[in-house]
Amino acid sequence: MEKKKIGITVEGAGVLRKELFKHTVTLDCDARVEDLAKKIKIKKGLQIAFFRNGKRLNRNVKLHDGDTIKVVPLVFGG
Amino acid sequence: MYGNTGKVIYINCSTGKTEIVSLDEDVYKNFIGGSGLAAKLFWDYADFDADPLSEKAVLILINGPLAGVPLSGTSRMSAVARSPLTGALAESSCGGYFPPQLRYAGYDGIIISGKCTVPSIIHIAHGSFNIVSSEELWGKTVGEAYVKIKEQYGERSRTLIIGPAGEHGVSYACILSDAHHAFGRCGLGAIMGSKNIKAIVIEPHKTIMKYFEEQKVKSLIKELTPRIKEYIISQVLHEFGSAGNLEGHMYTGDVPIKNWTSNFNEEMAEKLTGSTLTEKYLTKTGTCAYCVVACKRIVKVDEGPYSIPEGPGPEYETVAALGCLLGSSDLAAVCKAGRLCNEFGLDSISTGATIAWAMEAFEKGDLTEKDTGGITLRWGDMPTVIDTIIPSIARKEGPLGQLLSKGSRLAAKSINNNLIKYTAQSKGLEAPMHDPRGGGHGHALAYAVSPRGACHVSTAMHFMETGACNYPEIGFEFDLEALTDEKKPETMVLATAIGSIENSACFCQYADRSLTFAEMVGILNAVSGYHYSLQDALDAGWRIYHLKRLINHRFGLRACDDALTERMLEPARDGEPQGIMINFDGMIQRFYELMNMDNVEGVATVDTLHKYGLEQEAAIVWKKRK
Repeated sequence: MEKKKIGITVEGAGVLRKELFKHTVTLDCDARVEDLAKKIKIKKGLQIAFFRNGKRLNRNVKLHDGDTIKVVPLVFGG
Repeated sequence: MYGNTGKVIYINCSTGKTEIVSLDEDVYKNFIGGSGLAAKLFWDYADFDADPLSEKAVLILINGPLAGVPLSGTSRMSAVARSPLTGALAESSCGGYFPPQLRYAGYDGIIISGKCTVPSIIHIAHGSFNIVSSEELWGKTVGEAYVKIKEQYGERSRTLIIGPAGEHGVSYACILSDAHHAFGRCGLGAIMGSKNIKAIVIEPHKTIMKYFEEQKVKSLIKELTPRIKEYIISQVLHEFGSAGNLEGHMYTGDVPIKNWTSNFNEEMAEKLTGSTLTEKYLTKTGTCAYCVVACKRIVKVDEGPYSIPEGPGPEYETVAALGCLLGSSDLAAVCKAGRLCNEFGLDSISTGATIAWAMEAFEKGDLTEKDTGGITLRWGDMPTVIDTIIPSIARKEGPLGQLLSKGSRLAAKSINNNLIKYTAQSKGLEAPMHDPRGGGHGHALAYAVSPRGACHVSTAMHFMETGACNYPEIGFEFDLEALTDEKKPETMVLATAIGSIENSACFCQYADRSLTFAEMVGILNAVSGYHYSLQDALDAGWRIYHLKRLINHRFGLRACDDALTERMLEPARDGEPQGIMINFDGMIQRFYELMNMDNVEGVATVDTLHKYGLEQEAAIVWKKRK
């Protein structure tokens, strides 16, 4: 039987704002951050982190229907 | 001699005496060049009892050994003196186009002592250098003076210029190169101003540099240039500038907001980040000599109260210091405030940080209208910052201008010692815009033990801690967690050496990110013939670090000065790092232990200093102690 689906709003931050416009990703209901990471395509070599409500998420954290996830590039310096 | 020329200009502005100082190859090999060699010359030439702004004080500018080589991120130089802001060793580096011209003119640096009787410039051209009266330039902004100098000495001349802040002795005045690139930190502009030197001008020269291994240098340039250009960080810097990831920094809690009282503001992040700057105000990119990264911003704000003509735009530090730290999300205002700092010749980090401290002090009632001359200070009040505060600081005008021109530590102290606790500085140098509580706990250690005070570029910790680089060839393969103290002292030991090498070889810390440590040493050897093994290079880095600590010891600094303020160590109030404590004492004690440094005197033990060939220096400092 096909799993129920959840909708996650994804938005790139900083240098990913142009590359990763705000959009919705559909995932299985038991999806975790790791599953979301596999779904999005970004510049090769760019390390990223995921944030929900301003808090960084570990890759095995479970996602919920309606979550808004910021994808933050980890480029340091400045 | 290869790469380097072995010649340094010495000018005594009081007597008019000029000469060429010849340096042995061993001095270069031991201290690399740039910041390290400048520190060594400072040790030899400085009067340690002299006030930083007195006639006896010296200002030393030294090229990196690679300045003039057509490779990205290598045509840079360092300036060293005693800081009027901190009383400790001042150092700052700068790119642009001046360093290669100095090398092509046949010199590795300039030592300036004394004081000119009238405002003057130092003019270097066609094998000669002299002091020229230039009273007409005094009082002019950096941009105005730049235009006048170009008219007189030609479009292709290169310049180092101070603004009104340097003339007035503001303790965090900077030196601008070609009105865009800056020796930003520690108040070096005030030292140049105290010598009545408005500018140093060099006319173009065509000398061809000699490399130790010509073919190897050429093949390294060919190999490394495309790699540097295609590296992801270079691409981000080119497209969005150094503020390109301000938004990303914000999410990790790295960006200090409202005088370090907050670490997260989503709206501010979106409005101030580099991609917004690119979309709204960027007209073109700028660069330093031979650099393919081109991270510099040229901006124009067309309309509104903050309109500015096309010219230098803000980098990350300026955006955060004059935006986030002051509680403003207005990017046009930040562009204008940054431009003002350039024109007046003010370090934008110390300017923003000192104003931010004053805003908080005013809000708390610790600073009153009596102290400010009737000026009300409010978070995000950019009209007052731009129209009143920055100009008054630059000219030391009125009670507020005089107070804030001292920098945050001395300003706080002059009101009430208790107010120092909510400054954000170490040794008196305002911290850059990376908050260790969110950016990484190793930053806290790096800020504290940096010889010049709170600094994120004197060591490589900033990049090593955040996973931006690995150096397996010298044993650094740690996968570090930013918000812990784990392995941070051990990392810091390597980071001090790498940072010393970067600042002495004068590698740009953006352009060299894609280079391995072995490649950095390889290019140094191929150009200069230093014959360094990797261990030799590390030893040179540690030698330089220990020498700078000895200099500070002679200025009266001790281990207790390797401190951060209460504000910088209190748990963050929001954002990703909320509530997390930094194990600062644990890290710093372990660092002293690993570096064989005395945890009271703050300098290396005699045996350690001997290991690095600093016997004479050790004898002076440790004998004085006994």
